[in-house]
Amino acid sequence: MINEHVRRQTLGFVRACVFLIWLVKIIPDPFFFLAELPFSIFKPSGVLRLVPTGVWQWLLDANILSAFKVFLVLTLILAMIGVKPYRLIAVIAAILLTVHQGLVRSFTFVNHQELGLLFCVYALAVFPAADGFSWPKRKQPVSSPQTYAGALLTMTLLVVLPYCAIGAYRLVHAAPAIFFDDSLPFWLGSLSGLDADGWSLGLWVLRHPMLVLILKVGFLIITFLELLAPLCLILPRFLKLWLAVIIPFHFLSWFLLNIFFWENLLLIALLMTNVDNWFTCLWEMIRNKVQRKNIPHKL
Amino acid sequence: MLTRIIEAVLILAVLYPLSRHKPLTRLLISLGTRHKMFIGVLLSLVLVGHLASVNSFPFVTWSMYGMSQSGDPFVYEYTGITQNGEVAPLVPSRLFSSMAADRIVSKLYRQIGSLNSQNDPKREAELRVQLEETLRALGRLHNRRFPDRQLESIIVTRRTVHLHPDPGEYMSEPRILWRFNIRQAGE
Repeated sequence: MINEHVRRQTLGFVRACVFLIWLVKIIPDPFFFLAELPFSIFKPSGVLRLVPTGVWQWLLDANILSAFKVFLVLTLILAMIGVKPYRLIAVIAAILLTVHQGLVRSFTFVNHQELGLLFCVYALAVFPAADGFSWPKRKQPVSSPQTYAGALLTMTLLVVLPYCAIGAYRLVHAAPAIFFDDSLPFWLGSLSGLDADGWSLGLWVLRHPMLVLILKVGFLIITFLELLAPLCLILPRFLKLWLAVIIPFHFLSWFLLNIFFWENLLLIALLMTNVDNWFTCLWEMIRNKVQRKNIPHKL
Repeated sequence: MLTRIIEAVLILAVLYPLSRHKPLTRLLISLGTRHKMFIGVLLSLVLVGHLASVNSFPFVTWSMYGMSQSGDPFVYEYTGITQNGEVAPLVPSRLFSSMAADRIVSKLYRQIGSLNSQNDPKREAELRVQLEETLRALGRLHNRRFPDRQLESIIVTRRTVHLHPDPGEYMSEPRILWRFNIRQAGE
């Protein structure tokens, strides 16, 4: 089973990475722009419906949104470092992120891109994720070693379960037609309009029927791998196969469909590659190098 | 309803081997009550949110690429016209990070799609105003970022991607759909 033994430093490292990913997402996002959009397109998503419309009308002001963003960024930095009181800071970060993500979706559309990452924040707010790899350094932790493994297990489940749901939905609602009809070519064409990163490969592929056929076969294989994603937790060989296919698939989606779930890729790298092993090696290597550098000074 | 039940059964069938895996169950049992409850509640919310198909963000339906599509897709392009009459392509990824640009471009795609397929004139007028205001907001953002290239109006064009084309006709010539002034009266 993956992540069966996890040290507190490793969970702390994962915590720092998850909040860092959020910072990379939130900082360049022009959140104030929501106040410029017509309020008539604002359709509160999910939990945001609990807030009265009048409150949203007041909140959706460029200055308030900018202040909200500054507060969110500060909270994310503190949570990334693991500052005390960590639990309180992480819970505030989870609430603010939910509101932030809900707001951008309320003005645009409800997509999935950041949701796995958001669920990981929920887990990091509940588990003792700042016992290690945090500042100030904690004394001996009170949590059991299983708790750290439990935290990574929960996060891994929250990442693989949506893949499973996507595969199940597609197979039940649209198979087999979706794998043989013009759906995939349709997306190759329509999503070329996104073109945020300058690729136009989707349109280029459409001119090569053989490539389209190969992609259709790949689409079927990917769907089954998505459905079976939870088995990665307990089947190491299947995990290797899954990684070997899903990682290139994410890059292919970027080049061909202009959709890049880079945060999911990073979560996969953190949660599904035996992070405790490689992080421990990396950490020891850095410590040894630092110690070796310090010896001449001491002499 | 039946499809939802089949879907639930399919997901639970995939999860079943996990519940029989001793190291995993041992680890879960060893956790404190608070953590066990958290895992149970969160995973249930993810599954129920997926199956219920209601507006339940952040627990949503995971339906990516889950609906068959047919016909030739459209691609929409936005072109700004400056005060001097020069043409300046309006590229949202130059105004936002590419991550945020995806979201706003997809929103515009949906707005234009809804407007094009609308039969009710009253609703069509509402959607047109919404699209116009969204584009005006984009235009204002452009003008703030590029003060030396102030846009006066935005032209929305549509191209059709031919999935089964004659040789050399993969994409149609752009067809102008609308032209919106960015500045409102009095600005």
